[in-house]
Amino acid sequence: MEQTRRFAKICASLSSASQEERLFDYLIEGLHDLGFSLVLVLTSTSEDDNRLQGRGGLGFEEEFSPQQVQVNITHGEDILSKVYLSGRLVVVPPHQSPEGLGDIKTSVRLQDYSLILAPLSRKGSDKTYGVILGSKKNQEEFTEEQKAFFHTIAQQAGLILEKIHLQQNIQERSQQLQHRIYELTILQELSQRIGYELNIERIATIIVNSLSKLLEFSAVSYTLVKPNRVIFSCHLEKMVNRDFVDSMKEKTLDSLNTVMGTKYETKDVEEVLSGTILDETQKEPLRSFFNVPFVINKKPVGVLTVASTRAGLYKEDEMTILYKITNLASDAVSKLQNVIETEKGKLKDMVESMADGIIMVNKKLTLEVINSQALSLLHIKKENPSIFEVLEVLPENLNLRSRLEKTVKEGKSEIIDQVTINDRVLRILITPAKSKTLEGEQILGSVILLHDITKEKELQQLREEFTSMMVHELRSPLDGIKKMSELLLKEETRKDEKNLNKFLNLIHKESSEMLSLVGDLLDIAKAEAGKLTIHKKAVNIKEILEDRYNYFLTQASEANLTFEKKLSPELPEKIQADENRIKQVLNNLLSNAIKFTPEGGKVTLQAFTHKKDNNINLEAKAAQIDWRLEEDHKELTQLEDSVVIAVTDTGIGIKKENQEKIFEKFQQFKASVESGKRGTGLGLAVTKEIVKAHGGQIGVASEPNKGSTFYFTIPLKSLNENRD
Amino acid sequence: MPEKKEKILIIEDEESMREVIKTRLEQEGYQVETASHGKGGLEKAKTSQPDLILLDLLLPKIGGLQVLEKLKEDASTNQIPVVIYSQLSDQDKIDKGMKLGAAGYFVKAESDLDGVIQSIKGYLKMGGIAGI
Repeated sequence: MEQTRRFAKICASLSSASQEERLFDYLIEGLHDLGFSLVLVLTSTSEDDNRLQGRGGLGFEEEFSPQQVQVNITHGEDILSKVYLSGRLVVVPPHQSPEGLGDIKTSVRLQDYSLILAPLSRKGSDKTYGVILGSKKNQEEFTEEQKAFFHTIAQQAGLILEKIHLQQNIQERSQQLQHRIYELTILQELSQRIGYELNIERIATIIVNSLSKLLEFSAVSYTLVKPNRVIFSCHLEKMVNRDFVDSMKEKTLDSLNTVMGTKYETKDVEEVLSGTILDETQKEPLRSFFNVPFVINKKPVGVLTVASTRAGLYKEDEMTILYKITNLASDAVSKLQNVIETEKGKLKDMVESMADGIIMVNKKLTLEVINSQALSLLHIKKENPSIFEVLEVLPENLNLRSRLEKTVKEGKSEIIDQVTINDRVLRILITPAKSKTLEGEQILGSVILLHDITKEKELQQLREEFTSMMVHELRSPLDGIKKMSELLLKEETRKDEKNLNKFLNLIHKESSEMLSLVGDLLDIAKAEAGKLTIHKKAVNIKEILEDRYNYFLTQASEANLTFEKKLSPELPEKIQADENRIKQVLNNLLSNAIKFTPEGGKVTLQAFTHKKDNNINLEAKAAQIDWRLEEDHKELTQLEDSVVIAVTDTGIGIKKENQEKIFEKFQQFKASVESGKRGTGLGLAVTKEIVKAHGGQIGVASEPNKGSTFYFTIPLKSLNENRD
Repeated sequence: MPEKKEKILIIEDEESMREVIKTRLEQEGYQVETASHGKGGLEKAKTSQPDLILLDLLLPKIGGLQVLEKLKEDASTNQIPVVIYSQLSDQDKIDKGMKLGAAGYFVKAESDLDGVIQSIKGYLKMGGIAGI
């Protein structure tokens, strides 16, 4: 009963063990109490499954240390291996000398003992942690109860060992996990802080400042290569002496030169110290040290260094974490740089495609962007000019430089409403370029927008001229008619028959002119709406020309002009045309010719036929036409069979540059004011529309102060088509 | 009817307007000279030394404002009151005219001839001192 009680007690004590060492202590003591005079515990080592290591024992001679027992597991006959591998209980009677007990056998006279060996293995488990060996002195045999107790205790110990291992395993894992989580938290924090930071120096500072949470060190530094110098920025976590920093610097420089393939020396290094202070009473030298390269976009830019006065501090783990951090930082920066490059590209394309000129400067007024539109507006040939070269071409009185400074400083926009540069009218807008960051709004620089308003100004001027024209051409005659009729309402005026006739004639003239002006305005409006219609009929062009000639004969003679007609006998009898519209065209051309030809001059109305592919100039010559056209009137080289009608005068003529303009709306107005002759400039525009509607061409050849030939053509083809 | 016929020069390119004003002023008893463009007007102002000039602005060759400027620059004509009678009604033209020393400015369509003639009488009485 005593034995059973002890056995139960041992089992209980084993269950309470939470550490291997404790378990083995309980196991050995318990077995000793149960009457096993020698006890030895061996377990497989964690590094090497093929070796059993002594963990403790009792009953041996003093010079024998059970902890130092080491037995190789073989697949042969040695007894320890047999028990370990088979997982079965083995009992060895005395006087037998089993194999494989090595040191144990020689240290104790084991042949004098009965031995019992049991695997340290939970019942039913394949996993064996080791072997216990027990023995009885004096050649006593083991009782069955003892054998059973021994075996059960070994199984119990195996069970507890398994538990302990499991717990250790879990603990290790959770520790690893915790460490990993901690690392992650710090990395995350770092990445957030590095975030959109592009400044490598600031990133390095952030890393250096965060490192104390992860590693132990006396000092940490970053070393960055700048153009022509090296910055060694060292943060002292603990007080160290000058020598410490110097040797840290030296070692760092060596690594830097290796990493970057450079040959910097201590004299090239600019040292920045932060953290605590140097203390010369500190005697500890630098004992541990390691560094990792700092790489941005696959290019090394510097080195991070950690150093300590304690020896043997940095192993793989520490290096790994620093590698991770620097990689994270370089990844972030590389990505950010790529994003920025892409965005810059997009921005550049956008800016380039804009119709307005764009110039961007940064806060220091250095030119960042100038698009091709801006270059062409400012007549700058260089592709990448400096801001000075830009300011140089702008008028000095714009004070653009001080305006730029003002926008950058005060963040307000400036507008220069209208300035003429290189014949272009520009509106210049200067606005600050702002960026919203977490720290609030930041002014990055300034944008100059050059908006070309030349066309707008031209249109505005045209509108103003049109208004003036309406005043001059509509209100004036109307006002005149009103005032003349007012005057005629006075009997005093009517009594004078000369006055009566004069004013009635003037009223008639003014109102006729106005009527034709209103007609022109209506025609132009119709033409613009695409509704200028002509009604073609077979008409006798010769008759029409004769009729107009006779109509203008009086006016020409009143103006003291010679008025002639030259109509080719080959003119067709009938052509397809709108008689009234053709008359309108002739009225316009003839009245203009008479109006703009000084007294004593000559106006000729002429017509001839053109055959396709023939030279129109030769045809004109053959028909003895007064023809001022030169060879290069390209619109006349590919003409269909046509009737060509030309009005030639010896008038003031039209300058080359105005010859096309006169067929545009309102263009003649300026000329008419200068010459003192009435004219809206609408007449020729309407004329052009009518000729176009007939499918013909209209044009002018002129020489200033010599005269002009206005011609238009009416194709004969439409006549044939209509006949078919 | 004034005892001594005062002389008025009309510089006006529009025939009907010129004739209307001329007839109307003659009916009032003034002696009237006319010019149909700026250049002729300037010459006539110098040679015939009118008591008042009625000046249109939209004139061929030399514009009305330029004529006014020249009249005021010339010592022989700068004492003659000049009344602008024009279709142009924009304020900057009016301001410019007055600044150049016009005695008055009338927009044709906005003022009837009787009103203008009343004012002309006033200017003549004042002896050429700008009345506005």
